[in-house]
Amino acid sequence: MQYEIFQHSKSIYSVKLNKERAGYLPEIKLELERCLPQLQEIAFSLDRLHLFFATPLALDHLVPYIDAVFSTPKKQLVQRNSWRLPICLEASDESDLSLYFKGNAFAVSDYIQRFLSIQFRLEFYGFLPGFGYLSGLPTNMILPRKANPKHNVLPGTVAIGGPFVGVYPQESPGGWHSICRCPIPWINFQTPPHVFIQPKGEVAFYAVDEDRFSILKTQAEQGQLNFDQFKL
Amino acid sequence: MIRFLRAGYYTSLQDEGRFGYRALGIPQAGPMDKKAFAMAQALLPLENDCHAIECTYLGPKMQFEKELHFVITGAQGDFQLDGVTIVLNRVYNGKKGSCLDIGKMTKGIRCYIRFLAQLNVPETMGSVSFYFPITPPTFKNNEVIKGNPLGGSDKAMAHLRVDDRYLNQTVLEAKKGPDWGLLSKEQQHQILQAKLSVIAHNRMGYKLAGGLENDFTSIESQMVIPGMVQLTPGGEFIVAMADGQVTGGYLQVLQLTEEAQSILSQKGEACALTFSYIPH
Repeated sequence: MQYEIFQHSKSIYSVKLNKERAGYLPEIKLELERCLPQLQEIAFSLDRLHLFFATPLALDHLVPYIDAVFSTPKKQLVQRNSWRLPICLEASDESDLSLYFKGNAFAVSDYIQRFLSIQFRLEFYGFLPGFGYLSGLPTNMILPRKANPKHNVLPGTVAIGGPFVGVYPQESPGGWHSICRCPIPWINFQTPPHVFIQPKGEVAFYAVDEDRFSILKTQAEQGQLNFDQFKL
Repeated sequence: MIRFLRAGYYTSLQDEGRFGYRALGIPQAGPMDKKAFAMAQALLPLENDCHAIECTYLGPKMQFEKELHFVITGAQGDFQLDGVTIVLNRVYNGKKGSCLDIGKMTKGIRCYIRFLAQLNVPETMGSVSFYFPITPPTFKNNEVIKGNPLGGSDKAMAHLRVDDRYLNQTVLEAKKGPDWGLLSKEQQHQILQAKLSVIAHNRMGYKLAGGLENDFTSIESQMVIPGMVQLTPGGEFIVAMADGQVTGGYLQVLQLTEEAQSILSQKGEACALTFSYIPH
């Protein structure tokens, strides 16, 4: 079988997948949840599946289930939604791009124009509650993480870290390069499913002015924001 | 039911933790010292309620607005009920108006207070465990925990002899982590011989000095679980704890056993420690 499995403890495992299988992580997750009711929690990162059991489970007992799930051909059963989300370039108090390109305004605007044309894919959530890792940045737009993280990055800051794009859901220290701000909250803690973008969903960005940014942000804070307007 | 006259440092409410939300980037939270937490549950068992108040270094001063049984487990310290010294792992009965003062801890740094009461604290995402921004970060002065004290005369005055030698332990048993194999034999040996010392800590994790400088840079972000020992390029260890971020990009070298996580959670700054490798 073409996968690696790692046992962290008596009840926690990670399974590394090949690229083809990694594209079907939502389906694999669903199938494993069905056949392993003793699973307490299942999550995935870029190319790994992480299984958490409430009580110890032997590796020998787990492997046949994974073999069975992996041996059936996969097709997309879980809907991947596409989203188009507003960002505001002016609302970013200090864009790191200008710093990164040493004040070269042309390079900054070229970077932003290319950024706005990309269709990203949300791979997984991590780092902070509701911080999604978006893949899809071309190699020549990768920005290495900063050597010295910024102390407090503002909520809604859209930033680039290596090959990923992410939006800070709350104020936090951060080592990624901030480029603009998104007024839409990516997570709420009250109402399931808590996030509107499910993993493997697609995300693109479009620019709005400061007025529109403020209106959307206020609507979001008052719980009046209609998320459907951003769905494609 | 209980009013905080003084909240203490980082005093938080914990249950077993928040499970099932890791996929949204939400840590499991729950007690730092699971051993002490479990002891509190064993001394005052209740169906459907496994809360305990986690105190760090200096605990709260609380006034009982109703008669209430309680127990303290974990770190030792200067703990008093109405001015009389009280001990760990014994169930006490606080009267209405009584004052419980969880002073400075003297051995270990985290203790747990459990009440024989059904607390009236709403769960968020299946748990009452404090974790900002899902809940407030800590209790505040004058905050009141509401709930119903339960009559527990049969449980009152229970006392368990507890093996608390783990408070003195300085050896952290660990199994190999996912990236252990990326290290050379020499590097593995150095890690297992390392003289560790606590640089800083909070509920997210422990930062330990004593690692080795290395040139493993920016590894792809991977899942991090409590007890995972990560090696930074600068040569420090970061051990993820209850509120640790669910993903991280450092080298994942070792995984502490649950016992070792409890041992570590009772250590403050400058405590000296070593790893001890146990094969799978």
